[in-house]
Amino acid sequence: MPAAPRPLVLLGLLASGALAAAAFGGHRVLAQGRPADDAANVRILLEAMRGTGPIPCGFALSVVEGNAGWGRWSGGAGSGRDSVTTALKAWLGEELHDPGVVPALAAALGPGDACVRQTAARLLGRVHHAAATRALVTALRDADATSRELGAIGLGLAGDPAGYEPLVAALRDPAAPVRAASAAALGQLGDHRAAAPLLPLLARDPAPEVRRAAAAALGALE
Amino acid sequence: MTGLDALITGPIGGFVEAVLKGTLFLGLLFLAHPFLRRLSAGARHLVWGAGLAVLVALPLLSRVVPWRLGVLPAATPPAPAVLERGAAPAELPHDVGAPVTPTTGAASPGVAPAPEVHRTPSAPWSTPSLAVILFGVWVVGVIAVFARMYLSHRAARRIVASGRPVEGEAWDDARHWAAAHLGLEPAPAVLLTSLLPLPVTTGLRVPVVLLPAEAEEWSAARRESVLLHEMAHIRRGDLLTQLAARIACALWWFHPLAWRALFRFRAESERAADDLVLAAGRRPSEYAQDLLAVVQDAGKGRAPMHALAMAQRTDFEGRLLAILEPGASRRGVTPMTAIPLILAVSVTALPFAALSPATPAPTVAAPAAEAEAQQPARVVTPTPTPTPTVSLRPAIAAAVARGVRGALPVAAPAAVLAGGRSRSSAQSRQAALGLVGALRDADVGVRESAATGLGQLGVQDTAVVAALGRALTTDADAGVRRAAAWALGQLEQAAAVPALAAALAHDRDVEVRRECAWALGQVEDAAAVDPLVAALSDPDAELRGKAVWALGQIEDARAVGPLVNVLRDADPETRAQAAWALGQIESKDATEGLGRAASDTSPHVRSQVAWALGQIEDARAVPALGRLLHDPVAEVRKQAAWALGQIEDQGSAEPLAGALDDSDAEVRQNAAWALGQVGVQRIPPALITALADADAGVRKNAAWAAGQIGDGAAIPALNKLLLDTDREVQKTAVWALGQMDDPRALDGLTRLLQSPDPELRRMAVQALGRSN
Repeated sequence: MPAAPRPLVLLGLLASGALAAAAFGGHRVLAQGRPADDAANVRILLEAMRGTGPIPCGFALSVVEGNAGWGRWSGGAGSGRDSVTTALKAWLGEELHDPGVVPALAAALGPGDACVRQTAARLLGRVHHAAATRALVTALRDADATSRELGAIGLGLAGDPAGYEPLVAALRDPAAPVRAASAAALGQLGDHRAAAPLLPLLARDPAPEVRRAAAAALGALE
Repeated sequence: MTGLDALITGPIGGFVEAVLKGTLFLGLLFLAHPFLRRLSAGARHLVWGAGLAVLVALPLLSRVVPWRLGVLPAATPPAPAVLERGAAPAELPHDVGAPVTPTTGAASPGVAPAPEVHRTPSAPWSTPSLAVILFGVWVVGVIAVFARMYLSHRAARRIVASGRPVEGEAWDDARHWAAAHLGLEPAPAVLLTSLLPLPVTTGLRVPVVLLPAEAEEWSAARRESVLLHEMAHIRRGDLLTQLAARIACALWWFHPLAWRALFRFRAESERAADDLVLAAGRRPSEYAQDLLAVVQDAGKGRAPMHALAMAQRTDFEGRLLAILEPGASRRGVTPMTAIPLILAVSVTALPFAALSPATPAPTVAAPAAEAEAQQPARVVTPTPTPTPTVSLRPAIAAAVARGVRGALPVAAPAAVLAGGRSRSSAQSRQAALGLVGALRDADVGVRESAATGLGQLGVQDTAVVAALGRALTTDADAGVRRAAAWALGQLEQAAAVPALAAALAHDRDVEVRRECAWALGQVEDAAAVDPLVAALSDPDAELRGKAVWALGQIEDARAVGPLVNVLRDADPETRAQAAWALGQIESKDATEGLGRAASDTSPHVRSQVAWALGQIEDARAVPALGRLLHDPVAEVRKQAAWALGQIEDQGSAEPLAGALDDSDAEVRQNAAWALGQVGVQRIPPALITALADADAGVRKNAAWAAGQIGDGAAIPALNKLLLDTDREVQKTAVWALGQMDDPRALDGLTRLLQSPDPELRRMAVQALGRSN
């Protein structure tokens, strides 16, 4: 047998160790800030969400929504002591102002992977730009009921007063989940005028989930 | 050498190769483990889980990876075909079955046979039979491990079937609290069993927490800790991942490193569950004690494999250290941390997958034994806080003051109260009336949301209060009644007292009654005193505690007698709360009762009693507080010294002077401060000694007290303090000298005018002005 290429083995181990170290450093990169390119970040995040099951997706979504994220034990909405969550929130929260990400997010909100479209809707709700609101309003009028529901969720997160009228109109949507999401979003907007359209919904909507959302939204109005 | 060739190129070649790769990969993981210490337990758990998954996937990966690193020992010439056909034990049985064919190693067409293999008579075994034997042994091993898993599963089922659900409100409460804390819905069942010595969680589809029968005797805090820990496993999905890890180990049963990896995987899952418990706000020291007690109760018992046991003795010490480690990362794992970790492990695996037979290497670097993460045991010492003037707050109020729904984000009712925003207020009133209508909705969820919404809106309208009162007393659903009671507590309207009092007395649901007690404490109306006093004899300890808290809020002297009786309650926490409430009411009628409670068995109660006596400021309490200055617990002595300072009775000067010799610096600080309060004319010699105390806080408070007393005997010692290393001490000494009506004080102050420190010079000038 020829001589052993022991250096090669060592080299392989070293290389994989370096790779591992680089990948472990990933979350520190996250904590320090992200590259300036919003579009690239959004793409990375959406790709990461693809195929995520409902439960982990739910956790991720609560972070994207701006809540503490991983479980409520960490001290309630927005006050998580979890530093990675905080970092992710900062990463998501402070810099999504580039309207250039809107077309990609609007496309991702359409029919496709469940977690991806849920994430896209919430990200759109966090792009503080009129273009994002417009895209969400368009989704709110889509033929697909889930798209309409996601549009309402996004508008609730966006908190843009421009979403008020379309959301009030969506309270008459034929699909109960859309009406419920719209009612909840109106509660998030906090515009006290919403009491007028929400009250008949609370009194007469046939779907209990809609009446619940209306009651919760009315409680949240100023 | 030829034997080695046979191993590589023969029908078992794929097997040997997979084992080599797996060994290398696991070895690397164990080598890397000490460096993962900075990660949280949850993240390490993920690394080990990903490692075990990669272990199973390695043979498959080897086929997918497009490149080859020729470093594995191989026969000459290298036979890549072996790789293509490589059937590893982890693959599907029919794949593995391929080499079993009784023909020679060149089983499948297209595989380059390595003729020299068959020519080697020196091989102690003939290749085909070896393949058959090896494969057979492997299959038997896998079956054995699976059989053991199945038996263990049956054992777990049997234990679950024999368990009886926990009963009683205290248990229900702890169970729902823990589940709600972790966001588990519905709350998992909790069973008691005499078949198990320690708490475990089991059940894949319907998770169940099993507790030993002794759990009935546990304290409320321990129950909560244990339930939080067990439910944290359910929350994290540990049962499923451990099953997967066990299956991986079943396929790699012959490999000790795989079992070791499984052990680490389980250990990290325990630590991650511990982290969730700590993140829920459990004090590490208390939680560690709970854990220790559970293990001691358990003896050496073992839980069935199909369950997650809270406190196996293995890795126990490491866990305790991890719990108590102050700076440890306790982050949960989010998809954002999980993805890079899983990627890292997978990427690390790629070079191993790419390893292929090449020129033979005589030895493959054997993976070093696993290096256990050694975590230094550090004791958390509270940093002494220098007290300028002593102020002590009751620790108790904050814990009780929250209603059961206290954590809900509540919209400020101010919007409605402020008359300036009449339009918004009219809208809110309209919304509130709509919600009032929804209190009669057919759907329970709507009614509950409506009641909660009314509490959030904060419209203080008589119609709203009346409707909520009606819901509280008549609704069929306990959740709605609770929400109504909570909302009434938010509205803080005296009109709600009759309904709250009625529900407090008669509601079937203990949580509703608790919420009512809390709400009555919020309303702070004297009319609630009688119903709350009646609730003091409720069987539920938590309700009694809330009623005590509410009475402390209302501060009505009529409650004093009943609260003094509560000082003899069986539950120490309730007794401590009663002492707190009596301190709130500040009635001298409580002095005698509190004086008796000063000999309570619980240090927490004694400390709370001392605080209350300091609030009441009745000189009759001095003898009892004097005794508490000799309490074995420093916290109690500290509170007693503070209370004596509050009472300002000259009779306490002697016991306080004695306390200046206390071993605890904070007790000495408080005693020094208190001596300045009590109004003696002559400075006690012990206070002069205290001016040279080792603790700067004591020196400072002693200097302050000397200044208060104004006895010139302290001047030489105060002069020394002008050169103290601690600036605060220096400043206090300057001030104290300024208080002295004695010409000797001027010397030191005059000298200080030469000080290089401008602030001290300024203070000296001011002090000189005062003393003149």
